[in-house]
Amino acid sequence: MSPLRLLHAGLLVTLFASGAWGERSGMVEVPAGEFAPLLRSRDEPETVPVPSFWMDVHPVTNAQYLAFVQTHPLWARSQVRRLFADELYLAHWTGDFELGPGAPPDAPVVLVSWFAARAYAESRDARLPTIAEWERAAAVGIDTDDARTDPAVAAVLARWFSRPNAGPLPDVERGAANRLGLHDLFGLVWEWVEDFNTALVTGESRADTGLERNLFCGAGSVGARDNTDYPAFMRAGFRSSLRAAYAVPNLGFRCVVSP
Amino acid sequence: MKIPSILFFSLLLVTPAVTRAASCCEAPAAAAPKPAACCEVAPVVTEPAACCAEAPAAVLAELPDASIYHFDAELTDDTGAPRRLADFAGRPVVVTMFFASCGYACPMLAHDMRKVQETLSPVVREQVQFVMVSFDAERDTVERLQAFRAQVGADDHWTLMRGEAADVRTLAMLLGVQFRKEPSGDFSHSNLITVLDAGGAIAHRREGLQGGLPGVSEALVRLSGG
Repeated sequence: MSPLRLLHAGLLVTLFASGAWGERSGMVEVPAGEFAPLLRSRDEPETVPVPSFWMDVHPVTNAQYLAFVQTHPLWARSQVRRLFADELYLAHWTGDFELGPGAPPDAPVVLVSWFAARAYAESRDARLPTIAEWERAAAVGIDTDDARTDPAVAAVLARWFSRPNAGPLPDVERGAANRLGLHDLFGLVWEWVEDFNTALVTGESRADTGLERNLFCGAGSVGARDNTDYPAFMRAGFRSSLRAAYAVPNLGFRCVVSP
Repeated sequence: MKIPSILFFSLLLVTPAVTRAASCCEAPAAAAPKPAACCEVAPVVTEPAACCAEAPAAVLAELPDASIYHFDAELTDDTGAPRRLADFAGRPVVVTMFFASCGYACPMLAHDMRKVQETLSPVVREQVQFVMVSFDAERDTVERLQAFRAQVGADDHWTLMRGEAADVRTLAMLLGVQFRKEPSGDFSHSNLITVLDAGGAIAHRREGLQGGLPGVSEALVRLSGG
């Protein structure tokens, strides 16, 4: 083998080992863009800039999560501390290291807590997306560049919101990708985000219209952007109902890295 | 040929270091299971038991599953010293999250904590630790924390701390504190006073800014065995 060939091979090995390519395999770049917060303060600009980042093409699967648990047994179902994951954690798996019929390998992993999702991301030198990053990625539609007005997205969401959860989840990447190449942002599972606890609504917010000044400092200044963006309201409402140790049957996650 | 082979060898040198870095899952070195001798007896309450400011190993080994002290990130107190939450194990702790430039709720929270402290009998007061952790990883430097300490009149039973943004978020998640940074740099946040028992489990929570202080005091008295 010529030295040049060797150099080439060595370079490839190094790049994969260092993760310069490895970490991003299965990810696509989301170009810099904007995020229009659904709930924002009076003096907050309508959009905030979001720098570019790389995002998993699909949510983390059972098989991927199993590989993580095998190398990080403290996150196995019987080992995890209740502080970091409630008693439903991976309840649909057959055992600590066994998926079973309730958790097909290529279906998104669910019933994982925010702490667990974050530990998985950390093990890949990645992190969870922020609300701004997730929403920026999901603002791009399947057939058009604007998910809010894209009939293809509306159809997927309508099917999803009206379908009860029954049986094991379908595999990832079954549906069409959005125009960034990202699958399953709509219509498969909800996804954890790093800063889900920034939605300042009270636990008992169904009856009242605003936020309680008594419970939250500065909350009186937060108001909604667009009352017609139903999916965004669904996501905001869902996020605000979560606690970081919750394991929820239709809540998974995906990872991002900054370039 | 010379240059490529040098490059190749340098690449070979780089590779092992990188692969090593990937094996990050090793369990942390187990703490020496030596019980801290001086803490086996109930600490003498008339003077602060200096060695018990460090978490007694016996307490750490028996932390309940729900103990917040399993979260072991390194924070920094307002003397600049590294601290872990588990340093406070073995005594009741009152913990709140705040930011020093807060003009409304945080000084009130600190004021409420002081009011609680004043209601405690000297025996109980001696055992209780008051801890405030800042959301504001950027602006709340050690100096800023010192200024806040002076502003709210905190004594040496109080510890003010700051931490990295990701760790502060984890702590907020554990306590159930919601917060978000506003464009002004200030924070909107839950107003929450949490009481931890000796093992670091949440024993009592006071939500909001009105009332509820007697409940905090009662929890502390109960946890102090007084």
